[in-house]
Amino acid sequence: MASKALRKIILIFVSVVIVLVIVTGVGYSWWNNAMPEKTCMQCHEIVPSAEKWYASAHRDIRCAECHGTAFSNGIHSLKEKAGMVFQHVNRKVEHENIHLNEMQLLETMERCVGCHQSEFARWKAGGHSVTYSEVFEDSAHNAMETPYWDCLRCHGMFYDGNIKTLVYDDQEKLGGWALKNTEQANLPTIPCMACHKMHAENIPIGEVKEKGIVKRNKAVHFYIRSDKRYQRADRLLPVAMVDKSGNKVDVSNDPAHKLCIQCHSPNFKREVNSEDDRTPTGVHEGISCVACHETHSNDVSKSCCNCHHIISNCGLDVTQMNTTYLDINSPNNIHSVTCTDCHDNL
Amino acid sequence: MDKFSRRDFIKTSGIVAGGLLLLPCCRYTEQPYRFFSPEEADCIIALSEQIIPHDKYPGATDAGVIYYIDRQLSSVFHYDQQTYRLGIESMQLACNDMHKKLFQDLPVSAQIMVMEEMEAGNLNKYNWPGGNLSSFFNLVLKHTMQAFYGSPIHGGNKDYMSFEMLQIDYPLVIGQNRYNS
Amino acid sequence: MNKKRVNAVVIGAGAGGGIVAKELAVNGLSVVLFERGKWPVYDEHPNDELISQRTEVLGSPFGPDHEKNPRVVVEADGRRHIVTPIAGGYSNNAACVGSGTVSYGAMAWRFMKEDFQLKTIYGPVEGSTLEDWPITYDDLEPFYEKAEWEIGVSGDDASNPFAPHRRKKQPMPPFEYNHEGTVIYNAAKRLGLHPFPIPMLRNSVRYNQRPACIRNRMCCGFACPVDAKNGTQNTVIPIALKTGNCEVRTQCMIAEIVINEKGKAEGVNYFDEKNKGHFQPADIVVVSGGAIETARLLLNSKSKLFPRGAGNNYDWVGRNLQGHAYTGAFGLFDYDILDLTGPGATVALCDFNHHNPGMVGGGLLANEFNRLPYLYTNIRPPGSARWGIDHKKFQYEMYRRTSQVVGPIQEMPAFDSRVTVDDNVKDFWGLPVARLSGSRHPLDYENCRFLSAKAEEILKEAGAYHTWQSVGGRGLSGGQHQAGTARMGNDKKTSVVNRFGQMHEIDNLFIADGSLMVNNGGFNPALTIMALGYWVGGYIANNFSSTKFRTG
Repeated sequence: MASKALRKIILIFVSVVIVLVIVTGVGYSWWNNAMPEKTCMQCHEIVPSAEKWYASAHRDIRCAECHGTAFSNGIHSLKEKAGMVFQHVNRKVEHENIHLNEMQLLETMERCVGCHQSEFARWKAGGHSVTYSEVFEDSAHNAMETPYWDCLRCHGMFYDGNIKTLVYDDQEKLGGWALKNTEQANLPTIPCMACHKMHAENIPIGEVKEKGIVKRNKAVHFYIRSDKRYQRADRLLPVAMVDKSGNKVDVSNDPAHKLCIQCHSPNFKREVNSEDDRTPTGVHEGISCVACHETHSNDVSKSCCNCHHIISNCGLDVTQMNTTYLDINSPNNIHSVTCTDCHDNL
Repeated sequence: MDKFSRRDFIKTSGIVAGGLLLLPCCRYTEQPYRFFSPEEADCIIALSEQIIPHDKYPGATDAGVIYYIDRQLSSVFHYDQQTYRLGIESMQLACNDMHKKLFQDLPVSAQIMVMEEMEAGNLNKYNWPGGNLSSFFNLVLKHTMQAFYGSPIHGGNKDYMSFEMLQIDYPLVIGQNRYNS
Repeated sequence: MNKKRVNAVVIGAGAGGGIVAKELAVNGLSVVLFERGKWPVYDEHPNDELISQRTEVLGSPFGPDHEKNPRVVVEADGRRHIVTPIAGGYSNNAACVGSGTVSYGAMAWRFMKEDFQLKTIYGPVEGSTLEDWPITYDDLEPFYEKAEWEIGVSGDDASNPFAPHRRKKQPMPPFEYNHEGTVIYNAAKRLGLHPFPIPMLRNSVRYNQRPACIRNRMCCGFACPVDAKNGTQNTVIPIALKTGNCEVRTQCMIAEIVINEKGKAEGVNYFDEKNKGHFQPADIVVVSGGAIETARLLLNSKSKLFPRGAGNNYDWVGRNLQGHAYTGAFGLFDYDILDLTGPGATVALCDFNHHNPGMVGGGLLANEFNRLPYLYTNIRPPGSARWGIDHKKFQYEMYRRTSQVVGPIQEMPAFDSRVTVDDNVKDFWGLPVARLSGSRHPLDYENCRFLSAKAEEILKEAGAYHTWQSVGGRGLSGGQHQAGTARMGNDKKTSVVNRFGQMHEIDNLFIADGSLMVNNGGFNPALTIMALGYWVGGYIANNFSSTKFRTG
């Protein structure tokens, strides 16, 4: 009799498990494809993010497509999502305290590539795909600087720790700086999210048309590490720049330009071409960085032809001109070239 | 002993599945505020809007001052909860006695008049144990200024709109620091 | 649980304690440097006016925790309030490694010769415990120099005729004047005054392997994003750690100094970061918790020989609490006088520090640190709207057009301005909290009126179309510039420690912070506290080997 009872218990148990697996499986696949208001938005702390997402360019993409599911990354993602449920149940979490950590952010970024392959390829080819190792273990740079908190404002803005947990600085033993955690070495320091706010109010691709031609929406944001939030680039104030003699220089009000200067910045006097600033003066005064620089790769090759004829008025082939600012001997440094650099009698 | 019948199976499955389907019932019902009731919030919104009114630049309502106050009252300023709760109640009582309306339903000129009376201490007969309307007004005044002019990370000053008004460029643009002058 | 015995325990890793720890560690003594706060991390609270050490609206970024550390304030009419760091009148100094030197405005003043001899120069002041210091400026001069070179100061005394003599220049050139500074400088010159660049514990050029200042707008009240502001946390404490002789124990709250029946300090009882109690034995104990917390700890350390608290048999511990009444004037200009480059204060003058008829002491005047938008909402001419459209208009029309000239007045020490402990109010660890009571000497207000009038004169000369004074000097003293509560002196009946910061009746217990100061000068006190740290630390290090200090 005892064994019969046992058998019954086992049978109940097995059937419960089977039902659970089926229901969970069906439920789970429904969950991952349902609209957020039926799923993620059940948790109050997610609601503001989801509401922004409804107004974003990505409104047709489900949460899981970017943020992954509990099973998209093995035990790691299972732990992560379980942690979210735990936090929610404990009621300790409010929306303003939710931030992706760097690993979650980079995983999300990998999913960006699925759709944005061309942008990714250009970013990869340009300077902004620079890794932690390339930034923080550059011996030429490190000989001139000591690590400080603010380094992470422009590279490593999503790093979870701070500069003291990121690098050692020991001139005697290490001959400079070294990353404390070697796993950090090959991660990108300026991921997509440095300039792109995923949940920003925006219009999906293809819906913006100018004279019947589909245009890409160009809204960009600056991620302010210290605030853990974004500022719309068009809401950034233009920086009032001066030349070496203190005269005011015209600066482009283009949002992209105002974004660039956040990191490609002048000294505290706001002098053009001081420190990392490359605000154009001379004949190019007032134009935006992105008039010449491609936005993702920063490539400028042949960009002169965006505005100029290949053969210039003075007979020079602009595609062959040495216009780089890196070459101090260049007679045509594009950031500062003036008419009198070529023409004597003006 | 009866065996585990098909009926039992269906019953068990039903309970399990039903239980799972019921999960969404712990569903969150949308409430915009953590501390205020919607009526209380409307009152504070109206009050703070007259403290920092909209002109050619945004005012307290545009900047989301209410979200700052609401959030701080449910955390750092928890000790001010009672003052808000009773202060709003007393203020509405005073408005009802004078105008037969809620503060937020008064025309702007009447709102300003009530506020001037509160500030001057003329409505302190509407007091409560441990507080009165002039100290309540001063508290809302202080919190409104904090919300409008402080960092947006605390809930107010949406998109740094007060910094934009003051022409304060933020974040501060700072180049790498190799210069020596 | 008992810990391994060390030569010295230093309590408080601020301007005084950090330096003492370094002086002892480099001279081979084993040191445990206790700090109730944490190592400061810029990333935790940057660029946020509401959580800055200056306004402390929503929290103190560099401590202490506002829920765990109440104090009691007693008003003139006897009403008692329990206050926290975020709710007015608390007199907070930061609680972190470096303490106030992480987030200060970093003015680097030497006191003048006169500041050490006020009683001799001005005679006794009725109702004040005014006294000469047991040391002179000349005694302290080499230690000022050490502070300037080891911590790092930018400045140049050449155009300040009132500057006390110095053997060596400050190590870095002075900062330039900002726009407001230039206007004030020119006006002061026209009035026959002697303006000059403010000396700063901040790098005008690269120094100590750390970069030059970036003129950050949010400086005073904040940590520096590029580490160009010099405090003990980025100078002497790292040196102490490098010797291998010093351990910094953070998030540790000292409960009491244990005094044995022979009248020696045996060590300290403390709570660690997990609030677990420990005893740390030591040959000597140095207290440098700031004038309020130092006094509180001494008063809470009761023993058989000192039933009223360590070194308090003559009831002088906690007395003479001083701070700085800030006083000055505002002026409105019809053009943008502020360029908002950081930190803001660039020009000062010492014409009114001493030798002005009718004044005992005086104070420096300087243009003010940048006032961020929330702080500015309270700056209005008398009678202005506090809210509404006029208040808002003033905010956006005058934010860059309001100049302030202001300075700290030399307060007269008052016996009843004091720190006691309140046995009825306990902190998170169950320790009686500090209770602040008494009020400033009436002369402080008179001196403030004098200095404010001078400030207004300068602003008028500078072209302000409207000016008004803000006069300080009344009510309770204290504040960030707290001082005076463990006075140094030669007589054990009218002071707490001797000229080396050593307790009169407890040979191995020292004080090294603002508490030592007999009076607080008309200057920001940070550099003087640092010099005193070198003075006390140097004395201990030089005398340790031949010592009677050892108890174990």
